[in-house]
Amino acid sequence: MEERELIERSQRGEKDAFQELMVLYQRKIYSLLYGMVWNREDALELTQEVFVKAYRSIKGFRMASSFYTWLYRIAVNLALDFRRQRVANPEIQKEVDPPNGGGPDASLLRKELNAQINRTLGHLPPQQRAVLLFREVEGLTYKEIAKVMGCRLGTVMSRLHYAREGMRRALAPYLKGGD
Amino acid sequence: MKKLLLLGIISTVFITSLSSIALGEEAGIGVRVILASHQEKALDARLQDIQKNLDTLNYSSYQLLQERSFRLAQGQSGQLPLTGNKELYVKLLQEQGGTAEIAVEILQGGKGIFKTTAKLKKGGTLLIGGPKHEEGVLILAIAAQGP
Amino acid sequence: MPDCSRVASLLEKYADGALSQDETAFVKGHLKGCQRCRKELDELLAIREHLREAVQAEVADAPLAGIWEGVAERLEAPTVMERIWWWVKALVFPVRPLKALAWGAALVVLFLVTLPLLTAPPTPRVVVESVESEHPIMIFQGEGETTIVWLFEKEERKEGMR
Repeated sequence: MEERELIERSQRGEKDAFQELMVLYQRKIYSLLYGMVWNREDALELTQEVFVKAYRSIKGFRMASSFYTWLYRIAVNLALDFRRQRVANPEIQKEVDPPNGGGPDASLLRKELNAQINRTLGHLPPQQRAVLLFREVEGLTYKEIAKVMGCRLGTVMSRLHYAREGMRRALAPYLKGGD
Repeated sequence: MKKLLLLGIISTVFITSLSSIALGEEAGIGVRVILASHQEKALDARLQDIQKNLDTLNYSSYQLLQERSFRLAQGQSGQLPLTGNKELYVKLLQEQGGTAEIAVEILQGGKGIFKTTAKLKKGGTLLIGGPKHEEGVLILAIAAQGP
Repeated sequence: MPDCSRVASLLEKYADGALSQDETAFVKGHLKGCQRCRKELDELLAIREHLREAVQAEVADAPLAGIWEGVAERLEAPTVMERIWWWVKALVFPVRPLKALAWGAALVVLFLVTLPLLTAPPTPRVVVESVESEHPIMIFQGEGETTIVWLFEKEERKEGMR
């Protein structure tokens, strides 16, 4: 079923239509939120919150803008609020287990790299982190990012530059010689 | 009699108000220069009282490099040399009712690169961080130490 | 190489596919013969790759099938507005005991809501009034009555790239 029709039916209160819409976007939203909080339970919880909020405010969505930027905006604002409320505690932050594949050495290197990525992301100001994730992981253009974050194009590029500098410094040992 | 009593009350209130808004003579300002890094997990024991303040920054290691307490009169500055050809100046602008208004300036090679003014109450900490040093960053922890 | 400084300022946009055709051609041409700039581009792309791998590996494993259940459950629960409306209806409902109970509860809620408004909020212990800086800065609140001013020092450009 076409996305436009799903949105219109959701706006009329049809939850099954909204569920289909949710399935289309849950992976993208989870991906962004995981990048922001780096914790599975928190990211799952926030993903649910995003869709609850989206359903309750979908009547206010105008077809003129794209649905996914509207959804991303809800997600990034929730993630920023979440980070503001959460105490930054290194002991609580769980490190990511490496994905499948590779020998024990590859797994250890991956785990170490993921831990370093987590630490570095954790040090970035939340707005920089969000912009970095939108560009590098979600593949949004500068213009799309500016729309989602509600800021100017120049601000997007500046935040991206500083975020990349932070990542480059922290990941330098892993970048030497290339992978 | 009633007029005299009224005059007495008004005078007391006026003088009390004056003294409460009167500018303080001097204030104690504490400055700590800290090196923060990701090299290892360690907190200098002398920084335990501000551990909660530092926790926000998410570094794993905090080491106290310098500590100085200034007793500053209004308009007076204290100076502290920093690494990287930098200097720190802290000036008391005024002290009023337990709140110290200060100006903090960082100079590099004699040229001002950063300046801020802030009001500090006892118990509050201003952290200025970011300048690179060795494998980490410098953090200046500035606190009012009370009259 | 004099072109290196110009390419260095365009490299991020090049990696993001955000340059004009002419600029893209210029950067591409330069990269063919400049190992230093190519290395910088490779680093940018490697960061992207590492970040994507780390996030996408987690997303592939994540138990997203249960998301709708949680969402549906929350949508069933009344919202704050729906709860308020219930109390409003209760206040005009003709049954006496319920009306009395509703009025009593409404007064309690009113008292609790206005109480914080009557109590003056504590003034923060640190107030930053002004900042002047050569470097970009950020100001934010930290834990334990802390205000943090963070300076982002620009990295020195290497000699050959000026």
